[in-house]
Amino acid sequence: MVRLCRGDADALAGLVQRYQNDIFRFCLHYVRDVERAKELAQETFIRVYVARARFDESRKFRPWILCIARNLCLNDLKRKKTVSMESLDEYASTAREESANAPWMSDGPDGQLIATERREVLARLLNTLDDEAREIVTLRFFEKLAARDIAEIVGSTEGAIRTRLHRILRSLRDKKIDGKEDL
Amino acid sequence: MTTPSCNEYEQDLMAYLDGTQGPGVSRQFQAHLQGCVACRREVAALLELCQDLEWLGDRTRRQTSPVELVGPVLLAVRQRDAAVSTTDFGKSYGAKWRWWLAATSLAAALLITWFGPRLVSPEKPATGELPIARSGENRPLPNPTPDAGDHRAPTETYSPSKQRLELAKKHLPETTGGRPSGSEGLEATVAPQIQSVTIQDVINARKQALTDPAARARLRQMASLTPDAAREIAQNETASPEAVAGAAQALSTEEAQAALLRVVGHYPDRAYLRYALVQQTQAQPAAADTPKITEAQLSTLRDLDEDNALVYYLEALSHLEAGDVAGALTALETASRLDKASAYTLEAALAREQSLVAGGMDPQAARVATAFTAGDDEYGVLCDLGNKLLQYGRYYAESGDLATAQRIAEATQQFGQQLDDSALFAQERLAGLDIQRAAIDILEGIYEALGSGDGIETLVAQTMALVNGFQEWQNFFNNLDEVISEATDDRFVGFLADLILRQGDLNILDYL
Repeated sequence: MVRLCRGDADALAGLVQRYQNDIFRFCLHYVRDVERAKELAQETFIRVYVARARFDESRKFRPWILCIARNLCLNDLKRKKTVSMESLDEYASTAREESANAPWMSDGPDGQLIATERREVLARLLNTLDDEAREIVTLRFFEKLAARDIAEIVGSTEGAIRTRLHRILRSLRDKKIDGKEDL
Repeated sequence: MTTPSCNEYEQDLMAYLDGTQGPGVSRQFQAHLQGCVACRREVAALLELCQDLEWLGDRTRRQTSPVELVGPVLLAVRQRDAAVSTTDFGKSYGAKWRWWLAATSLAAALLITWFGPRLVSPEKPATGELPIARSGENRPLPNPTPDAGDHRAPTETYSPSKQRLELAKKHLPETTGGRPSGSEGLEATVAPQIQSVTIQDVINARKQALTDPAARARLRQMASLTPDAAREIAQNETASPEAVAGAAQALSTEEAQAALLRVVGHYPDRAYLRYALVQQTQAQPAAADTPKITEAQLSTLRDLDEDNALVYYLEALSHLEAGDVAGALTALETASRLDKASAYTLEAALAREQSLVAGGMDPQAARVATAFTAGDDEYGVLCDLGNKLLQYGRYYAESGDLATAQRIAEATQQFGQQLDDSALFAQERLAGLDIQRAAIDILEGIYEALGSGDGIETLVAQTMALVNGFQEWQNFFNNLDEVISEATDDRFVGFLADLILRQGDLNILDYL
């Protein structure tokens, strides 16, 4: 990005290659449509190119580009009146399928069964979260962003994100404990 | 977090889970944890929850199909900037490299054109063992007529074409033998327990392997299951088909075949599983029903992956081994018309990764170890196939059936070309280059015997292209080695491994 900011046009190709799948997947979280996600990811890079002079080199690039992608996605959803962010249904089914095929991810037959069941329940519980909570979970655990970066993307503070994340996790844990997973 | 005093640590707890807490805060919080059972339970429960969420995220990341946006984005940006027209994409690494290659080609061409005819007759090419480094157990061929062994024209009567060919061949590197797999030093080292191998161990071995063959052996061992561990996975009914296929790589032919038969029965439409089974079946000692079984499996594989020329080359070899020359030539003709040949290297690597994880290896370490050794086995498999086909080409040449010999050798040369063109992994590409070189050696003799000057001229051009291919390959590995030797961050190496296991290693330098 620094090279792009300094006028090296070749850097754009490298930037797109490096981040295209991250941005595409991120957009897919919001719009749930592969073709729209591709278009939005493409538009994100064009916005990055146009706004390259405004990029603060002292800041991280990934939160900045994710912020641009998020704004594009939210605007797109608003225009198309899509009511919510990805329900994570697909993740749930993926997780169930993977869990069935992935007993090697845990220790011993009992542990495997327990982990499989636990993750299946969790995948279903994610659908009970509101849009804002799901967005934070997605950014933190699916995109592996730190609280500081999430705060930058969604326009909040690091402390607020941590607190919110803690509450989301406790809510998920409590639902599991209370047996509310049978949704 | 059940009492007011515990609530004071909410931010510290999340920072602790994030791994971003400062040392002072950490000590305070750690002290609190030691005395607070409720907080300890909460931390344990939330840690497990975080791990499960990350697991769900990882699976989603892996399962989202990659996209290719570079072209559309650059086009859109160019259109936008059309009025100014200041964008110049000709200075990329790839473009520079292409210029370098062009310059090298030109220099080599000039050398051959201007100085070639003035050189003395080159050494007579060897007619012994094929120059493919890792030949497998070749099927014994009938003894050729003793005095038909050398069908080449006398060296004193070299034509200018022949001289140019010999000169071009001098620019080829010594027989490569592939990237050292390290198998040579395996017996001298104690195999590591893969359960205790860390990502750092793998990275260190890869770095040391730049100069130390024994380290390459260790790296190879880190990416391999013991037969016992492989057997356990292969017999586990709940293991994934890929994990079983990966485990089969470490089993005897008979055991691997049994395991693969089982998973192919459950997943009959997965081409890689079927291919792995074909490999094991063909490797079985000749049994009465082996050709029929192989034929049936190849037929199914052809239906599953009809654009993959490799399947037809396997079929051709099967026909040749059964004495069906017409069937072999038909299969070779079909294979030669296709664009790509794939040895399923990516699928084999992913299968091995799953088997290592199933065997108890740390997933990150397994991923990196698999990525850094991907293609090693396929190099040997592909060269063996090329070698066997060329052995038949040589056999028919020595028997006087030059037409059949020519068709087999030309098709095998085309096989190498297809691998060269469509490879995802450097080792696949190297196999393609080595197969082409071996085929050119055989074809040289055939064209000479046929008195085909055009054929020799074609070989000159192909050899020149091969010189460039080897040079490009060597440069790729030098650059990759440089990147790895300078890598200090586990996450960066993990990123490299992700890339390699998503799209092969040949293009990863473009991403850095």
